This record gives sequence, C-alpha cells and structure tokens, in this order.
Amino acid sequence: MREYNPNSFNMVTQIPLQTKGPTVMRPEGDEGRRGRHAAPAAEMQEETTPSADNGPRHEAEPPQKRSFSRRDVRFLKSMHTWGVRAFGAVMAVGCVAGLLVFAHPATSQLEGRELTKFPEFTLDSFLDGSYLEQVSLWYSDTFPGRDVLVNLGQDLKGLYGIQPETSLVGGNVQADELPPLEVEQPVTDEQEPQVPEEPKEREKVEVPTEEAMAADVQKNIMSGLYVKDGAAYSIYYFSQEAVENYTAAISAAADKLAGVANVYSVIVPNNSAALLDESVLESLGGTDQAKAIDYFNSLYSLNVRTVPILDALRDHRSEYTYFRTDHHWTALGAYYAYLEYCKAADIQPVDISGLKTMTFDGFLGSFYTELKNPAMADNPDEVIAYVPKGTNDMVYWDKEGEKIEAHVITDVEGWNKNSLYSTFIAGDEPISIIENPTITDGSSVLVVKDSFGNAFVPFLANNYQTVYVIDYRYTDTNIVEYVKEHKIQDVIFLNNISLAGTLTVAAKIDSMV
Amino acid sequence: MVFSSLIFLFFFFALNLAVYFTVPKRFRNQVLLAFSLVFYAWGGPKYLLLLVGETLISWWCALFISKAETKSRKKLGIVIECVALLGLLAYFKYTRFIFGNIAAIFNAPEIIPEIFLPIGISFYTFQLISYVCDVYRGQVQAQPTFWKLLLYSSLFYQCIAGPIVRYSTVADDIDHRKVTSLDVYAGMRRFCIGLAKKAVLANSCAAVADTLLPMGTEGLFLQNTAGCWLGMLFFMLQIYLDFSAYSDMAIGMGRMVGFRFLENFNYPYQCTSIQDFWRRWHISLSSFFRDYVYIPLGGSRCSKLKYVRNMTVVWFLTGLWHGASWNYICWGLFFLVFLLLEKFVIGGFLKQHRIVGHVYALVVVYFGWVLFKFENFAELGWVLSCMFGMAGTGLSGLEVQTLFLQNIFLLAFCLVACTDVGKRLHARLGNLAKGNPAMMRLYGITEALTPVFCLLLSVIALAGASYNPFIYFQF
Repeated sequence: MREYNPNSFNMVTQIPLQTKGPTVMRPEGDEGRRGRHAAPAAEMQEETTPSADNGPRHEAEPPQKRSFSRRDVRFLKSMHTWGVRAFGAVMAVGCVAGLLVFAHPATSQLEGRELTKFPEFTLDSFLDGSYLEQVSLWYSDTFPGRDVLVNLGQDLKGLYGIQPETSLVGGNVQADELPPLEVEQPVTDEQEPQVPEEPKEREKVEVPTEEAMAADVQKNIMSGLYVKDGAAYSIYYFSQEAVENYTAAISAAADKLAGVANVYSVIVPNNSAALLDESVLESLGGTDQAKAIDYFNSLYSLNVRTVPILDALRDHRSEYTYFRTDHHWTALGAYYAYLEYCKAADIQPVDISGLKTMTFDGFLGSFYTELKNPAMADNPDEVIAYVPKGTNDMVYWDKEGEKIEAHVITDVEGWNKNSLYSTFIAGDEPISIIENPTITDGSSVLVVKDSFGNAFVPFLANNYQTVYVIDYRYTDTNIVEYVKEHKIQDVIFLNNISLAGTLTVAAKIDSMV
Repeated sequence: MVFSSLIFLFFFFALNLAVYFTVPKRFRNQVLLAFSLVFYAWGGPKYLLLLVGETLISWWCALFISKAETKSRKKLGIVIECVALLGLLAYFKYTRFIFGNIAAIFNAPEIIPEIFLPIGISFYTFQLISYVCDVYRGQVQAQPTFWKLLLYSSLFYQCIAGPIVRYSTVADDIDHRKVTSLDVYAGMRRFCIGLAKKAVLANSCAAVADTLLPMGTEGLFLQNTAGCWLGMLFFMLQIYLDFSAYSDMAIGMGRMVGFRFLENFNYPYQCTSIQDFWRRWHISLSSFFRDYVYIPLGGSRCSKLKYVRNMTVVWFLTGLWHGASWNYICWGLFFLVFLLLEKFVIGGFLKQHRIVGHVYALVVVYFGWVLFKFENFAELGWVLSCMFGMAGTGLSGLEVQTLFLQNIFLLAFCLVACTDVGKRLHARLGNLAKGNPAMMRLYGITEALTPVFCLLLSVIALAGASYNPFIYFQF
C-alpha cells in the first residue's frame, strides 16, 4: 500500500501521451513552470517541451514545510474513515427511504398540489426514454419527507442574500399596448350597438385542459409581484387577444340570453390598482387597470351590464379590502363590490354590520407560498367571513359529480395556514347552490366566477332565494342552457382581471356559452 | 439521469457503491459495466445500440490496425474508424444544422428531418476516436476484450458529460486498479464537493440567469442594461460551476474505485490571457484537438500562414463541437481572433502586465459567453445592444435590484468558488495543524464533516428545486 499522505487530495494529472514533453497539471505549481507545461490548447507546444520535470506525481504537491507526524496521520486516517462512514450512512438512509415506495407522498400540503404520479409502463415510452424520465421525476418529486426538505431548501435560499423591504419579482412580462378607447362618447343610446363578435368567425381556440388553464392562471397571477412591508401586490399585464376573446364570449352569452336574464360583468382589479399610490403604480410598469377595465367594458355587447367597482375599492383603500399575503380580496373588499352590484341591479343591499362574523387568524396565502417572505410570516392575514342572514347551508357537486352538503361559511379553524380562504362557499367547486328559506319571491342569480367570486357570493344569499354558482374552470356545463333551464333572472360574470385576461380562461368560457 | 438528481444519488449511485464493494473483486468490472449500461439506457434505451455499435466498430478497427502489417492497411483502419464515427456524429448532431443552412440558401429541402441527439455522443465518440488513433500511433495496445472497451466508452462517470478520458489514462486501471482508503475518502470528498457545486451553486446561478435573461420569450426584450450585465455574470458563473462540478463528480467517483482521470479544469477564471484560459478550461477537449487535429496538421512549427490555417481549423471545430449552431462557431472563431492577437501582437505585453491580462481575459471570456448563450441571433444582437444602453429599456429597475440583493451572498460565494482560495485554505489549515494538537483536531473534524455537509446541503437544494407551489388550485 502506498504511503498514506493526507495532503495529496488533489489528484495531479498524469501525462497525456501525445506530448513527448509531459504535460503536468500543476494545481499549485509555480507560474513559470506551469507556463511551459500546462496542457495547452491554443499555443500548442508539441515537441519543443523539455522533459526535465517528468517527475513522480507527488512532486507536484505544494512544498510541505513539515510532514505530518505518525500520530497525526493515524488521527487523520481515522477522521477520514469517519468521513466515509458518515457519507455511507447518509447514502444508505437516502437509498432505503427512496426504496420505500409506500412512503412516497402523493400530495404536498406545503404546495397545495398533487405530486407527480408514478408512470404507467408502455413499451414505447420505455424505449424512447420518457418512461424512465417520468420515474426520475416521480422519485424526486415525491421523495419521503420532501416537505421538510423543501422547507429547508427555502431557508437555504434565504441565505443567498438580503431580502429587501421593497422588491419586485418576475416583472419581465410583455403587456400589449392598450388601444385607445374609441372616441370618448357620452353614454347615449345612439351608440352603435356592438355587433356581437360571433359571426366574425373567430378562430376557435381549443378548450384548454384544467392543468393548462391552471398553469396559465398561476403564471398570470404570479408574474410581476411588487413586495413592500410584508404585502405583495400583483401587477396586471394587458393581453389584447385574451380580452377580446373574453368579452366576446360573455357578449355572446348575453346576446343569447337577451330577454331571458340580465347579464352583468364585474371585473375585479388586482390589489395593486385598488391599494397602491398612483405614483408607485406608474413606476411598476404593467398596464393601467382602470383604463383596461374601461377597455373591457367598451368591447361588451349592449346586452352586458357592466358594474365598475375599482373606484369604490379605491375609495376604501385604507380599509382591509385585500389580503397582504394572498392574491384574493377580503370579504370586506367583496362587500364594496356587492354594494356596487346592488346599485346596478337596483336591489337593497344588506348592512354588513348586521351580519354575524367568523374570524380566522394566521392566514398565509398564495403570495407567501410563492415568496416565503419573512415579513409576511411575521404579520399574517386574518380572514373575516360574514354569514348570510337566513341560512348558512349550501350544496355543491364536486369534480366527480357527487352531491355534497356544505356551509356557505365553513369553520376553517385549525386548517392549513394557506387554505383559510376556503372558508367561503367551500372553496372552488364546479357547481354550488345556496337556498335561502327566508326569501320566497322566487328570485335567483347565477354567478359565473373564479375564486374571487367565493368571497362575493355569500352576500348575494341575503337577497336571492336561490344563488347558483358555477366555477367555469371545473365544469363544462353550458351556461346559457343552465340559465334557461333553471329560469335564472340575473347572471353575474365575476372574474379577476388577470384571469379574465388569460387566453385559456377566455377559451374555456367561450366553450361554455 | 443526471448526477445532480435524487434518483441518481440515492438510487443509482448508492446501489452501485453497495454492489461494487460487496461483490468479489473479480466481478467488479462486470458490475461497473452493467451499471453503466443501465445508466446510459436511462436516457433512452434505443441509443444504447449506438453506443455499443460505435464501440464495436472501434474495437474492431483497433484490432485490425494492430494486426495490420503494412502502413496502408493501418491507415485503412483509421480511416474506417473516423468515417464511421464522425459520420454518425455528423448525422445525429449536425444533420439539422446542415439541412437548415442549405434550406436557408436554396429554399430547399422544405422538410428538415427531426433527429434526436443521443446523450453524450460528442463525448464518447471523441473518446473512441482517440483510442483508435492511439493504437494507430502505437501508443497503446489494442484492447482484445470487447466488453472491456465497452466499459471504457460507457463508464457512467464520464460517458455523458466528460471529461474526455484517454484510453491510455485508464488502460491499466481497467485490469489492475488499486484503491487505498485515502482514494476512497478523497474521491468521495471530491464527489460531494462537486455535487454541492452543482446542486447548490450552479443551479442557483442558473435560476437567477434564467430569470434575468428569459431566452425565447418576449420577457427578454424588456430587460434593462443592468439586468443584462448581471444575468450574463450569473451565466458565466453557472457555466463554469456546472461543467467543472460534473468533472469533479466524475473524477471523484472514478477515484473512489481506483480510476485516475485527468483534471479537466484548472481555475479558468484565474487566467491571465486567452491562451491561458484555454489551458485551464475543459482541458480534455482542448488537448484532444491539440493532439488529434492541430499537431497532425503541422501545429506551430510551420509557416505563419499554415499556422493561422491550423488554428482556424481547430477553433472552428472547437466551436462546432459545442453545438450545431452558428453562434457556437462564432464563439470559437471569436477566441481565435484573440489567440492570434496574443500570438502576434499583445502576448509579450500581457506577460509583463499580468493584472491587465487577467482583466482583459475575463472581459473577453465574458463576451464569449454572450455569444455562447444565445443561439438566436436576434436575441444575441438585442442583448448586446442592451448591454450598452442602446435598447431603450433603461439602465436598471426594481426587479434587477431585488434579484441582486436577494442573491448578493450567493454571488460573492460563487466568485470565490471559481478561484483556488478554497484549496489554499485547505492546504493552509493542514500546514497549521502540523505539530499543533488543537488545530489538528479542528482540521481532522473538518476533514470528516466537509463531505457529508456538502452532501446534505445538496440533498436539501435538490429537494428544494422541485418546490413548485401550485397556488391557484387546491386539491
């Protein structure tokens, strides 16, 4: 056995055959010598290289003043052995844990998603490598204890730098130029009725899958986050095509329902437009949401009644209308939108101070999940929900079509900190119905909504005998037929501006009218 | 399967080590071969045929050459080898590129065939060519046993991402490997450090670079001047840390079982000229081109004109090897310009002013990476103009500041990790420990804990990389 020389870690290269004068990589050799012998690429000094220092490998080690004493060598050798053992132990634990197939989790509490599934074997997918690639993905995505490891990984990232108090994340998004509104017309009845887009043979977009839509929506919400003092604000990026498709789809629904039901459109602004100072908003880039909403509204068919809510929200911007750590609005924010809706629909709004409240602490929503901002963790949100008068019961049909009884406001005390928004109408479900037994006038409303609708819907239960709710993302129900079938009088399309401005969302709604 | 994945680490490599060290010594090569074939097949089993086929051709050619009696027959052997292997490489790697260029000039053919690039083909093709060339030159004995040559070409340590190991380097090791306990420790340590370099540092740099320079998206054209500079700096760090980490892991794993591969990097960002850079960067590739292209062409011992020709050929090929796109060729020729400049004009000046040389070389290399990164010339041109404030997107912005601050320690650490400071500290600590029991204890403990610390950190970083919060849908 060779002498145990603990200093000879950095293996010195041997001599490539070609150069007759050997090329010795000298990690710490003196410069002059390296100049003559290092492996060249450009200036290649073939034959000329002298072979003077074709010495044994160990000569290339840095000169050592003293060598280790025997005792030291014994000690180091044992330390190295311990090092190898520790390595072996970690590898063994990891190997065994990874082999315990049943210990691989299927979902992640932390991220709120289903993890990659183990792939099905087919000969084709095996031969082209996609099967094993999927296995690799499954393995790393579902490694036992990954939520703990992921959390540690996030902590590790926290060490990479300083978390500035004011920051902007993912702002490189190209927004389309907002077209100018066609001549500032005073609202007169003379306005040329908008020709429904339908006949114009729009290119039929394929109906997106749930996953495609989810990914798209997530990207839209999480691109461009301005973070300040433990709160995030999402910036809106206008997309011409998406807005055209969205408004055309709703116009088509309204035209088909003309004379059958009133169709309302509520575009919910992102929190940045509802809360931030004008000057800050301008500096962040993105699209002016007030102008964008005007543009949305200008495209609608006359059969769509628009309910502007941004001004009302801005009037109350000192109040708690949006969460700091989540992209949704609070029930209070939704209430101000509800008041505007009541004005437009000419109904008597319920007084919020007369409603029973339920409060849940410690909410750390989507912004926190995405950013892991420590200032947010120090000051989590509070979810306040208002129970409608007359009933707190509802039913919904889940994604498998099963009918389930639930509450309009669910007690989510003790739930996961990132899912407290689910207190409202049992979260996002394909179709839900709230019947209020204290109202018997036969009134009914349908809300076609994304998750922003969840905080809004409970207030309507104070005014309508029946509130129908469709989350368009999870069902293919034809909205027009549904309205006719249930003889619904009012239809509200309530969507967040970022979602309404997403191509996949527009395509999905279009497929349902 | 990449080295920096949990499935490689805890499934493949862990089982490999366990099996390797439990079977009787005489079966170890078979174990390595079996694992290597599985490893290669992981990325698409059908390409295993290609690897085995190329090895078969090379095995036969080498034997043919070694048995040939006349020089012309020997030549025939080497010609068959080169035509076959380079032909396959050209087919798989460059067909689309060639057709694309033809199509751009003649507007025909209209359909460019879709060819998938087999993993590692650039590396093992060069390894096998170097083997047959060495046999031709009588520098190594032809390997009579096919599966042993297959072990050389498919060995999973270096098969898919280098270094390009010469057969002569491992010829003895295949049959007579000696492993000391120090080899096991040092190899393991090298592997762990390489893993952490990749999983923690390189991946994090990549995330920042990709955020700042989102290639192939409109977002790229919104970046401002500071964002482009910072993004390229992170890319420069990423590419070195990533590539050298792979070499570290390969060398480390090899050493654990007794293979002694040559170093592939020698702190290239400490270079003092471009010539120096290429002595330190991807050494196994540059020495390949030196030994099998440059010197056979006549090297530098010929007329100036021929020298320029030789250099041009080498650097054209070096560029082309990195990818089938013009930007890589430009990248190679970009270095050619500076190498010739150094040879004929500024070389002497640089030798006397090493600090100037260092700064100059880093600036050249930095812009080299800009060329290297963008295959799309519209993007390339835009980024270059943006770097000099001519894109009209402003000098800086809040997002760039945010990313800079959030990664400032990472940046500092990576800059240090590109230098030999770590190695010097290690040697210094070792020297201080001599004859000083307290220091000795500290040194011993760091020796024992460094590798496992790196390993754990890597596992955390790898698991963290799969963090993909799906906020919108709740299950």
